[in-house]
Amino acid sequence: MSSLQKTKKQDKRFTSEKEPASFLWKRSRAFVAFCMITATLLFSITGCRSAEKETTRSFFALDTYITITLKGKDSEEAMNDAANYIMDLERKLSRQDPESEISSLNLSSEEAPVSLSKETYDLLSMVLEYSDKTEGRFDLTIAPVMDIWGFGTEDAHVPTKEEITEVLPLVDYRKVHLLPDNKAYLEEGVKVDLGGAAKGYIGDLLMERLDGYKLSKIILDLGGNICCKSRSDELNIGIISPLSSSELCCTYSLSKGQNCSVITSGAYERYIEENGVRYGHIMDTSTGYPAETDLLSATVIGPDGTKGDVYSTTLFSLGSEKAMELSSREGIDCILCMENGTLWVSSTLEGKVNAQEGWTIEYFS
Amino acid sequence: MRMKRTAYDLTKTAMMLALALILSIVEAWLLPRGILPIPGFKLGLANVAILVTLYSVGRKEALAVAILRSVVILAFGGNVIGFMFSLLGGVSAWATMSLLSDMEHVSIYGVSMAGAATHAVGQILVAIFVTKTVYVIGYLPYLTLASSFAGALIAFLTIPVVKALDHIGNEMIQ
Amino acid sequence: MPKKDGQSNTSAKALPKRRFRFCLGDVFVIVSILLFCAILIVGTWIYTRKNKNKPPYVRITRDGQVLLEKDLREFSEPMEYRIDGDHGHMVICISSEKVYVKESDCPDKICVHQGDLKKPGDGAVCLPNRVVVEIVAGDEDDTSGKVDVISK
Repeated sequence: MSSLQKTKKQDKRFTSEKEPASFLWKRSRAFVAFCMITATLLFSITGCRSAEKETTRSFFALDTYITITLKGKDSEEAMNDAANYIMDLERKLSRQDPESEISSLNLSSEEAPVSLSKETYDLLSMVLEYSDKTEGRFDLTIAPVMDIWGFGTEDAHVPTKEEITEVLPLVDYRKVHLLPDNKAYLEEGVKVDLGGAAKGYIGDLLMERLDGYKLSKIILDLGGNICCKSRSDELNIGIISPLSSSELCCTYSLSKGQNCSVITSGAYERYIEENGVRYGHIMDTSTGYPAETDLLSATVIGPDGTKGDVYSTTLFSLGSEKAMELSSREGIDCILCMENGTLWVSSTLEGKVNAQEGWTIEYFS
Repeated sequence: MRMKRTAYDLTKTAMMLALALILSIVEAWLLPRGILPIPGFKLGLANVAILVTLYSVGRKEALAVAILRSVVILAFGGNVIGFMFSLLGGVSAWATMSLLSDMEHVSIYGVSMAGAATHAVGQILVAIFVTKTVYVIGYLPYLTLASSFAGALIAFLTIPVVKALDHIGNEMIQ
Repeated sequence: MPKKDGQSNTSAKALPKRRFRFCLGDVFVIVSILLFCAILIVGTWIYTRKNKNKPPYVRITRDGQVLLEKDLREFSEPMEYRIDGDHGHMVICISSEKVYVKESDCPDKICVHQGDLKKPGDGAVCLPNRVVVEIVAGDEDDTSGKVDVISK
């Protein structure tokens, strides 16, 4: 009797509680469904929005900070590809990496030429061509001289005259020999360093590779070497003032859809200071000493990054007069920054360059 | 007699080093980082051990505990930046505490609070050095205030430990 | 009483006096700490107030190097900025209203817990990655703010 009562009681309690619970459950089910639908809708909306997503990534490679900005449907995917490609190229072109192709090239001899990848070989042949065109003003075999100065290392110092005259004969791009089938060798003692052109070249290769993705904007900043392209907006590219790292000397506006690299060289970033004299890192290949120049920096603007990288260095080391001569001969668009605040700008760039306060533009052709 | 004294001091220092390490772990366990509103703020429980050493063994030993604690934490899987923080913070706090503890009219509370405040300043200096931006200085006043409060609490916790240690010592020697 | 002897003979001189009660000197300590903090707070307050009406710029610094400095108003669409640092990657979300560190592989995650950064003076620091994300006051008529990228 008592047990029966108990079960009944339990039963009653169960039923009495079940009803509001199930009612709540029904309500909440509708609520959950509503939430889920809203969430899916929201997601699809944000999903659509992210179709034109802009992503930026920055990382350390090629001995500098690299920042890539991509906008477009494939930006994530393209970004990963670009980052991997940079790492891959670095492994081939870095002189610091003892396993790179450049390092093995530096150990090669006539008897034992090394085979190179297509990228490295192409870069080598391009650079040799430019070395020829600049009459050796740009020389990829400057490495032995750079080594005794030690720029960028801890024991950077001004070497003695004897040290320089000893290694100077090794600086000659004609001592680099290209063979068919992507093979090459160096003459004894010769060392190459593609640092002066590699970043421009990598920029070119990246732009080419990224063309395969659906992107409306590409900005590559390889440690200050800029490669960019935009289908949607005009881009403004600032050019750093050689006098202050926080100011610009001028800006360059790039119209829609143009593929462009902007590369600046100057002695303001890397130098040795000894006994009150500044020694910049851009060498005069004929003396083995820093180039004596009246320029503070030289910027080359053009579609070809490799060319820009080579010529910005060369123009800087030549000094204003010869630089203007060379640039008009070779048809290079450039901005030459003088100590007195004058910017010598190629007349082909007229209207696209805006000087910042304290700088005046003069055109040459 | 003298031997005995040194051995006793050494034992106490070693005990305090062990205590400092345990307290570091306890603190990480009690207050996982990110729970507290001020970045980088910690109670500094390990400071109890350093204060006890300062008050019942001596200055040099307290410095030893402060330095060794950082070294041991580094050795057992800490990172270098954390090590720089605790080392510089610890040493600067020790310098202030040993100076202030000599002054008249300053109790253990004042000593501990000043130590904690210096620790905060030391930390921010390391942070400026590490990030190479002065921005982090904005945290300094809040970090200093919070640390000083924590310092007072630490002093309060230290007193019974010092007394207990004396008590154990008395029993041991007698 | 050997213990008393021991203490007074060898190390009593080196040991600080045990004042376990609150003393007058402590007031001095507290006042100086408060004063120190007050000066700093007033200083930062004056600094931020001065920049109140200036447009907010986001600035991301790594190892003292500026990686990004841009007017927040230019971010009409939210953007994710990714940094591959010493301790793995960081993802920073930037939109026109706010900036926040979304992900970080660093051990302490202080930067992520920092939350939304909105006005000049706000910031998040990731010490393991040596990255500082901050909102700074921009210049209203600064043309360099309109630059997309800088060649150097």
